[in-house]
Parts: sequence; C-alpha cells; structure tokens
Amino acid sequence: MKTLFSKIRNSDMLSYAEVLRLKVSLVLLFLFIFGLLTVPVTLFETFSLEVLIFLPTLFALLFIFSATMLAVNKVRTAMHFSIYTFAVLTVYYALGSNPLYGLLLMYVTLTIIIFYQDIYTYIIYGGAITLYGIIYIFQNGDQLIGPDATGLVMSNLVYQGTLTGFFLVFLIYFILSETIYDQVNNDYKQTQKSLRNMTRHMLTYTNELRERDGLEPLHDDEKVQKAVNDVAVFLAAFFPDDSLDIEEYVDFYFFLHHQDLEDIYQKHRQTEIEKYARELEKYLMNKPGDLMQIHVSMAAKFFMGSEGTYPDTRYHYSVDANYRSRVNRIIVLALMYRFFCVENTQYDRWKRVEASLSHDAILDLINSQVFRSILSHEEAKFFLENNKLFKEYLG
Amino acid sequence: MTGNHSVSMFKEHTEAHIKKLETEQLKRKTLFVNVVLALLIAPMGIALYNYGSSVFTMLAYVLVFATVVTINTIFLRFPKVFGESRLPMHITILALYVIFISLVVELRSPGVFTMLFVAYAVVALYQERSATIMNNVLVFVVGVITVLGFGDMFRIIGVERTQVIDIVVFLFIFTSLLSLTTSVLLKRKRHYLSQVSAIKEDEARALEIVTALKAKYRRTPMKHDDYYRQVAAFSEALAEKIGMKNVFSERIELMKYMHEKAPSSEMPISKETGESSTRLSMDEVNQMLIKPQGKLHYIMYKASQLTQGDDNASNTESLRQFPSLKHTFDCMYTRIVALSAFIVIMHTDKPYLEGLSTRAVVGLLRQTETSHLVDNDLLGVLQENTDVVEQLIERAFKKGGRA
Repeated sequence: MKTLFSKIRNSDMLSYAEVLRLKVSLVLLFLFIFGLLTVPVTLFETFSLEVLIFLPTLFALLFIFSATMLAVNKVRTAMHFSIYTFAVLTVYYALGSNPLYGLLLMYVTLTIIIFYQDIYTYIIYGGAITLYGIIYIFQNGDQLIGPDATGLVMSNLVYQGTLTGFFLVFLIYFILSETIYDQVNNDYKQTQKSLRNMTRHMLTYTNELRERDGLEPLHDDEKVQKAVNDVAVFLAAFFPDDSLDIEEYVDFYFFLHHQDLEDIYQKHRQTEIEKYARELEKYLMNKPGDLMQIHVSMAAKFFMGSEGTYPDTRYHYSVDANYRSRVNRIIVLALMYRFFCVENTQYDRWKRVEASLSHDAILDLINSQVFRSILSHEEAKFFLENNKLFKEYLG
Repeated sequence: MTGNHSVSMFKEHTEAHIKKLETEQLKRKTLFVNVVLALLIAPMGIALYNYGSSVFTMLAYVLVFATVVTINTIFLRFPKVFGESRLPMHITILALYVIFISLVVELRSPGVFTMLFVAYAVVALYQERSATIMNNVLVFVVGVITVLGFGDMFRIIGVERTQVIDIVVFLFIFTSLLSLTTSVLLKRKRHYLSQVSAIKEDEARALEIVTALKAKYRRTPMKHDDYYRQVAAFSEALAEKIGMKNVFSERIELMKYMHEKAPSSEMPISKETGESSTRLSMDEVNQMLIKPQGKLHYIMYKASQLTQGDDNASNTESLRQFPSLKHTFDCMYTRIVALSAFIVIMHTDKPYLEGLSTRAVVGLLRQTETSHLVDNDLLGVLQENTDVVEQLIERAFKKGGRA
C-alpha cells in the first residue's frame, strides 16, 4: 500500500507502461474493496435467483482474471478486464431494487474508464455504458421520477441529457488532452532531433580537436577505457550476475564502437549478441544516443553562454518570430544564403564537417516542409522567385 | 564552480518557458470551456421552461452564463487585462457550482443531482492544478450539502428508500477516484512541460557550445566583411530588379558599424524606410549581426542542420520515452556500463566543459529533474562509494591504459 502511494506521488517519473500498471493496480484494489463491502449487503435485496448467483460469480471470475493478467505483466489485457468487471457490477446494481444506485454506478464506471486516459477505450467502453444508460432510463424511467417532476418524458430527458452531456464533455476533454499532448510531443521530437544532430557535430569537433592535441577519440583513449572498466567492475560487485562477466561485457561495449551495428544485428539475429548490442548501442561514446545526449544536457547546464534575462524569442528560430521588419527579413535571408554557401556545416565523405551546401541543395532545403520552421511560405516564395539573383551575388 | 550561476539561470529560463506554455494552453482550454458553456444555455433553458420556471428566472440564468462567457472572451482577446492571475477560470468554476445549487433549489428533482457531474466535467477541461483542487473540493462539498439539505428530492416514486449515506459514499468514491486521476495526469503534464522546456534550453545552449567549438576548430574567424559587402551588392541588384529604392543599404551600413562598435541606442535608423530608432528595432539589428555567438548565427546553424537525416530516430521516440541510462528492458550490467561511461565522460576535460568530480556528478544526478535518469539502486551504491569511485578514475587516468 505504501509502495502504491509512493508510486502515485512519483508518477511523473514513471514510464507510460509503469503508469498504466499503477492505474490498473489502483482500480483492482478499489474494485476489491468496493465489491467486498457492497455485494454481500445486496444479497438481501430483491434480486432474481439467476442474477443473485450469476452476476456475483462473473464479477469474482473477471476480477481474478484481471488480477492474474496484471501479475503476468499483460497490463493492457488487465485494464480491459478491470473495465468489464466494473461493468458487471454496474449491471448487477442496475437490476437491483433502487435504479438510482444503478445510474450512479454508471457514472463511476465512466470515471474508471476516464481514469485510464485512453481516448479509444473511452469512446468504445464509455460509449457503450452511456448507450446502456440511455436505454436503461427509457425502460426504468418511471422508477427514477422525483416527487416534484413534471412528467416522465421530461424526467427521462434530464437523466439522459445529463449522462450524454457528461460523456460528451469528457470526450472533449480527451480530444483537448490529445491535441495538447501531440503539439507538445511534436515540439519535443523536433527539438530532440535537432539536439541529436548537434550532439553528433559536437562529438566530431571534440574528437578532431583532441586529435590536434595528439589525443585519441574518447572511446579509443585507453585511460577512458580503463576508468570505465574499473568503475563498472566495482559497481557490478554489488549486483552479482553469474551469467555475465563484467570485464568481458565492458570489452564488448568498446568493441561495438568500431563495428557496423546493422551488420551485427543481421549476422547474430535473435542471439544474445544482438540483444546486448542493441542494449548498449544507446550508450556508445561515438554516437549521439542516450549517453551522449544526457552528457550534452548536463554540459549545457554548466555552459556559460549568453546568459541574462529570458527573452520571449529565446527558443524561436523562425525568421518571422525574430525579425519584424520586412527589410531586415530580406537581409537575413541573404545572409543565410551566403552562410549556407560558404560555411562548412555538412559532413563530407570522410565524415568530417567540411562540406557546404550547393545552390541546388539550398533550393531543396528551402522548398522542404521542415524548413517552414525557419522561413514562412512568403519568405520561401520570395527566395525561389529571386534564386538566380541570390546565386549570382551571394553564391 | 562558476557553473553554479549557469545552472540556476537554466532553471529560471525553463520555469519562465513552462509558465509561457501553460498560459498558451490555458487560452485554448478556456476557448473549449466557453464553447461548452454556450452550448449548455439552450438545453438548460428548455429544462427550466418545462419545469415551469418564470421568464425572470430563466433570464437570470442566461445572464449568469452570458457574463461568464464574456469574461472568458475578454481573457481570450486581451489576456494582459488579467495579468498573471487566473481570475476568469476561477470565476467560471464558482459560477458553475452556484448555477448547480440554484438549479437544485429551483427544480428539486433527483435528475438535477446528476448535473453536478456535468459541472465537474466542464471544470475538468481546464486540467490545471488550482482548478482541479477547487473542482474536487466543490463537487464533494456541494454534493454533500445537496444530499443533506435537500434529501427529500431523492424520495423517488415507487422506491422504498434512498439512503443519504449511500449517495455520500458514492460521492466520496467519485471524488477520490477523479482526484487520483487528475493528480496523476497533472503530474505527468507538468513533467512533459518541464521536459520540453529543459530540452529547449538544452538546444539553445548546445547551439552556443557547437558554434563555439566550430569557431575553435576552424581556426580562422568568419569573414563578416565579405558577408556585408556581398549582401550590399545583392540588395542593390534586388532593388533594381523590383524597381524600388534601395532601402537596404543604410541598414547594412548600420550593421557594419554596429559589428565593429558596441550597439548603441543613440544610433539613428533609416529615415528613408520611416522606421523609428527605438531600442526594439536597434535590438533587432543587433540580432542580425554575423557574429559567432549571435542569434542569427544560431538560427543559420540550426537551419543548415535541417538537411540531416536522423539515423537514430524511431517511431517510438516521444515524450513517453525520454533519454535515460536505465531503459526498462536493459539488464543490470548494461545499466552499470552506461552509468560508468557517463561518470568517466563527465570526468574528462572537454573543450566546452572542464571535467567534473564524481561527487559533482552524483550531486547532479540526485536532483529531482535528473534522478529518473539512473537506476535508483545503482545511484545509492554510487552515492555511498563516491570517494572509492573517484579514486578508481583518478588512478586509471594517472596510470593510463588497461592492463
């Protein structure tokens, strides 16, 4: 229980799969307590014998199945079955002597589905529960009518309208969440890609500069290799694993730096070599994987660059966002073209950053969709219309 | 270490960006809430009419809705009117629950009670911390007040009894479940925003690092004179081609002047283009200079990299999978190698960052925003043995080479 609450407290740090697991655990715990407290009491109510035997048994079986699925790590299956379990409980109450309880349970079931935060699950199961609720109110509306109601039709309409309204507003909630998430996610992915490219350049420049100083690239430096080996051997002593030798594993790690990994994956398909190579690929020192990206993020925290206040355009790189005057934007465009032509920003065939862009490559780049994050359609059109002039004077 | 100031500025920048993103998102959510509120007016009017409410009562409800929609519209059009406060959102929440209570008093029907959930759902659209707390407290308190104060309305015809306690228990379940849902959701949303803001600051600083590295690597500085001279020639030809006066030349002269001297707000800007010599336009010209550590250089560098394919990109990469040194399916030895390599790389001197001690690295990894990067058990062992690990690295670097 304590672990469960600590996981909720730290849920922001959990992966998507771990969060889903946490949610299913909570729902099952809730189902267990709720079922244990309420079902035995209802046994004294006026249910038909079939309902009294069949539904609680089905409830128990579905609950056990959901818990088993969770235990064997089939988390999504467990999620679906936890919803079925709650649906059975709702139907059980809806068939009881007080239809208001059944109706309220429909709201709880919808809430459980909302809890999972999955739009498709919500549309399918939430839609089914809402539909069941509307039909249920049609059939049992006479038992839901209040003392001051003006008539059965109006009373039914209020119940049905409210249930449908609840479903629809939460549907909007999901659409809103998804669009906001997508937007933030796309922004993140674009920035991640840009950061990875810069990491690759930083690695190239760093190793070239090391070479000038008579040093080998980081991954070939024997001091670096020995330090990694010694630290790993020390740490591994706290987590013994008979199936692997840590020193051999470190050797394998440095060996991978010089290999064509795709070739290894092809040659050793579905072997331990492939498994471990894939695991370690993210942490190679000469690739912009997770290790080097985290390193760059950490280095960035300490880097004393253009500090100072936070301007609104700090993270904006489009010409529009940074330059309001049209005259300035045209000058910037010209400077940018010149920069592309004369500065070495691209990899050459020897994997050094020693190549610049040709006029045709610049045309392709400015025409590309991805470049709309830098130039607007209007600016790109201006360039394309005058591209010969750009080439003649700035190329 | 001088980097401490840099680390604190990093946090300041990311916090400012999170706030900016939240405000942008709040505007979009307010738009949705406004649309839903406008849509609710008609069915509510019909319900009131059928329950025999007076025209005056119906008008009062419409007036409350119209006021809330207007306040929200003002917020959408002129957000600065409300400064940093979230007043329109809080007014909307309170108005919704007040409307609910007055509907209970007016109609006294069990069907009205379920409208409480619709009010809850509308407020949930905000997906914002203070709104969520208000929503959860209000739905429970208002619900309990309704059940205890107007219990008679639950006397459903043909049903023996509806226990007040049953409804309160139901409300408790409903509220606690939704509180859990929203707390998990809000925590993750905040985490996403902080990750996006952090990566934006990472990118801004990485651009500075990589351009500085490039300058060091190429040995000769950028020939800014060539840039300005050729752009001047280009602009003259452009003006001639489109048959207009050359409005660029004076600006380019100004840029050359500013490149050599410190930018000054006293410098006049074009009389011909009619732009005023405000600090803002001077700042803009300053941002156009061809300097290695200038905004334009960063923009151009980033733009030049858009040609690069991304070998490592995968479809699964998203906010749901951050770079980490402890991926779910990695075995313990992989995690150990990843962490060891990380500590050693951080320890090594690089042109852009002096080597950090193991203690400093552990300190970085223990921070809230980075603690999820490393296996918790491993980090615990590392923390307890910082000095030993430091000695191992020092010894390896002194002796050099593997045995």
